[in-house]
Amino acid sequence: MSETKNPIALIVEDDSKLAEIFTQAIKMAGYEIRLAANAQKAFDLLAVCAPAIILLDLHLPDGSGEKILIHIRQVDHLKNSIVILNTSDSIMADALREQSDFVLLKPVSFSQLRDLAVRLRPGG
Amino acid sequence: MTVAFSIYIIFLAAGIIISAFMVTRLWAIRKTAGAYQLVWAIFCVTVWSFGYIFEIASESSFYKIAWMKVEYIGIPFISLAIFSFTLIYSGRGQWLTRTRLGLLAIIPTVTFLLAATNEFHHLLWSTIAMPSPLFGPVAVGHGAWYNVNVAYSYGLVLLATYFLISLAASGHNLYRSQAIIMITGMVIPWIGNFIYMVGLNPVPTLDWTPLAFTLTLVAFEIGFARFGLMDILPIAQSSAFNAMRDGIIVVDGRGRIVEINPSGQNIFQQRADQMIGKHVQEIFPEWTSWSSETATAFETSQEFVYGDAPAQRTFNLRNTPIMDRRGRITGHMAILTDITDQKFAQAQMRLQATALEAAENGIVITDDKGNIQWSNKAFTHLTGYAREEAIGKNPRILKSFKQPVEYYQDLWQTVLSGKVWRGELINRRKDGSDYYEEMTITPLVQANGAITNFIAIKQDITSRRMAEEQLRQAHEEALQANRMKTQLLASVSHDLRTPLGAIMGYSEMIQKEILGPVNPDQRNAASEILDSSNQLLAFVNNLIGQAQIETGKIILRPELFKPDELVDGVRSIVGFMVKKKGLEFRSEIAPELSGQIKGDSYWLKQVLLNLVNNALKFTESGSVTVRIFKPDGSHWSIQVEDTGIGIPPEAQKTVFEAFRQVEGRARGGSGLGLAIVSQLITLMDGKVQLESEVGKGSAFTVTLPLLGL
Repeated sequence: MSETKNPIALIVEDDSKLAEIFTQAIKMAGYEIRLAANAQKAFDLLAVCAPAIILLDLHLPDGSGEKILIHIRQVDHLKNSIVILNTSDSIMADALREQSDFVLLKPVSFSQLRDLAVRLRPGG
Repeated sequence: MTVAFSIYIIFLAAGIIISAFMVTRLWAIRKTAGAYQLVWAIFCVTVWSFGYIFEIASESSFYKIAWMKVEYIGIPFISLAIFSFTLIYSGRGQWLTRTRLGLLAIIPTVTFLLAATNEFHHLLWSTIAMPSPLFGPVAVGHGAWYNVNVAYSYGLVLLATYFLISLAASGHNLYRSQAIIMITGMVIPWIGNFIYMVGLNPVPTLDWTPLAFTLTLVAFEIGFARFGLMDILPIAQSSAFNAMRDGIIVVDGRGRIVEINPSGQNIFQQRADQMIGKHVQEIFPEWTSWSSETATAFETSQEFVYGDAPAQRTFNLRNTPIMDRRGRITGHMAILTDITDQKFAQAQMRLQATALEAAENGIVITDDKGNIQWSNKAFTHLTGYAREEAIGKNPRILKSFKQPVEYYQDLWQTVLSGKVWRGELINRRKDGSDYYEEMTITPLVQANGAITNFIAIKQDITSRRMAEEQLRQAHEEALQANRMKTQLLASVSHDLRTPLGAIMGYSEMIQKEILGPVNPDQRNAASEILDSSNQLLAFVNNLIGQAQIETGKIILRPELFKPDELVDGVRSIVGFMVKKKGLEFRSEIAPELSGQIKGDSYWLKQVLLNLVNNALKFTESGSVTVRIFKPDGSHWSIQVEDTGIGIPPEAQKTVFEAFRQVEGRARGGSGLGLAIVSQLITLMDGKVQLESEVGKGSAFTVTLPLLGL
């Protein structure tokens, strides 16, 4: 089971309902989903895998997603990861636009996210 | 006879001793006018007496005649000396010039010379008969010149008597009694002469005249010296009287004007001769106290006004009774002092004092140490300290200790260097409450640089300061409220978007049958949920946009985008609504713009969505058309045209105002959409135009500059 064909997508989202919707949309795009409901879990997961895409919520219960973004940009094994910022704070989104690959302002449409994920699928 | 002659010699010798004594007394007061003339007269009489003693006592006719000649060193000049003295003493001294004195001295000088040379011409003495025995006076016959000398002497002595009498008649009490004493002395030689003339002389050959003149001069000397007022001669008194700046009027006991000085004549604009002799009531009715009989009211004073308006003057009248030596009132003297200027100055000072007292500002005057000397009513009102309490205290009693020590140091440094200090103080009233005052301190600097006083003018600015404070607080509160509003909007944004995300996500999943098959009604229900969510989202975005514009936090990020993607994005949001209302959604994109345009696609999408939402809201049938085109070489436009109810002309100006809806167009909505469009387009250096006709439809056209690629 360690061999898997599908690329990994990391979803960092504290709201469980949104997490379920994002999981459904990205899974439909053909990804294997890793889910982190807080920053600590996200750091743990990032230490053991290199996701193809990372859907990152900036507003987390144990800290700002900005730290995770900075970590991703500093760590060598994540240099190919595509970061999709997902936030409701447009000012914050503006500030981090340069360091991320995509910025989605909440609410994110199910089909929009699915289509984007499909587009970003490695080799796909 | 010998006995009589011997007694007479004793008298003469006594007269010489008295004369010597008089001269020593007069020497002390020799600077008094007339003193030298009196000494001269005494000298002449003394020479006569001296010569006469030896004339009588000599036992040889040669010596008797020689001593007779010595007597004539004095005899001819006695009358001239007495005349000169009375002339000067009665104030006529200026008449006696050297020339006149020289002319008057001719006759006595000739007499003296003729006496010395009588044996050659006998003009003075026609005969000389020696007494027998020789102890006794020589008997002489009168020559022609003898009578000239007598006439001359009588003439001058008569004039001298006249001077003394006129002085006694017109002068002051004191001088009058002096003059009377002198006149008495003057009478003695006349009596002696009368006795001699009528032949009542008990010793016919004996001449009493030197003794009589000695007594005359004693009287003169007493009159001249006894009162000890030698420095103030009648003339001096008269000069003073004439030179006085105050007007002086003298009336007698019956109220007749007897004297008025030049200043007095000036006041009444009449000459002395027009007034003297008239009753005081005619000239000066204001003087009512002239008839006062009470000597205790030695000086009474009253004020009176004289003259007409422009030249009107105010005088102070001092009434002084004039008393004789027994203390009886014989007349009155009025001294009139012009106090017009003084009164004016006093009135000015009163006016200034009243103004200072009545001033609205608190005024404090301190000495050079800062101790309060005076304060006004407003100061009491301001501080609660009455003037009586404040006087003598230092203004530091007002200190509230709410300002740093340096502030007061600066104040003192400024005023002690002679400069004006202006500033605001927080002071404490007597009751302990604090107040704000604006103060100006002006040091009063003398010509030598010394500061004598400080004048502080204070204004209560408490209410102004309170108002400023309230305004500042209100401003602070408004800023706080604004910050809270921004904060609130940020939370609302987050808290709305997250659940909206769930609603829209699940709705879409149902609609797209991700969660399993749905029937058409269920799919329609999901679409309705999505559409409503989109409306809600548009509103939330507008609210956030408005807040960001208001707080200046909006950032425009122009980037390349495809116009058809912009239109398609909006189309997908409004698609369900268009279909539901049975409308047609058309888009016409000019071919030259179909590639890429530069602009902030996020906010441009908001602009287009708002315009389309607005069009759909007011259109029940027909179509909504979106056009993107180039009106000219440097601009591009987005036009949204509908076939709705249109906007009446009077409302067209207000449609872009926030939270405002045109009457009759209320279709649910905040009225925020068009306001955001207008503000965003302004920020993008563009403009919005509206063309509309009621019943036909509206067309909103946004025109923006084409940004370089």
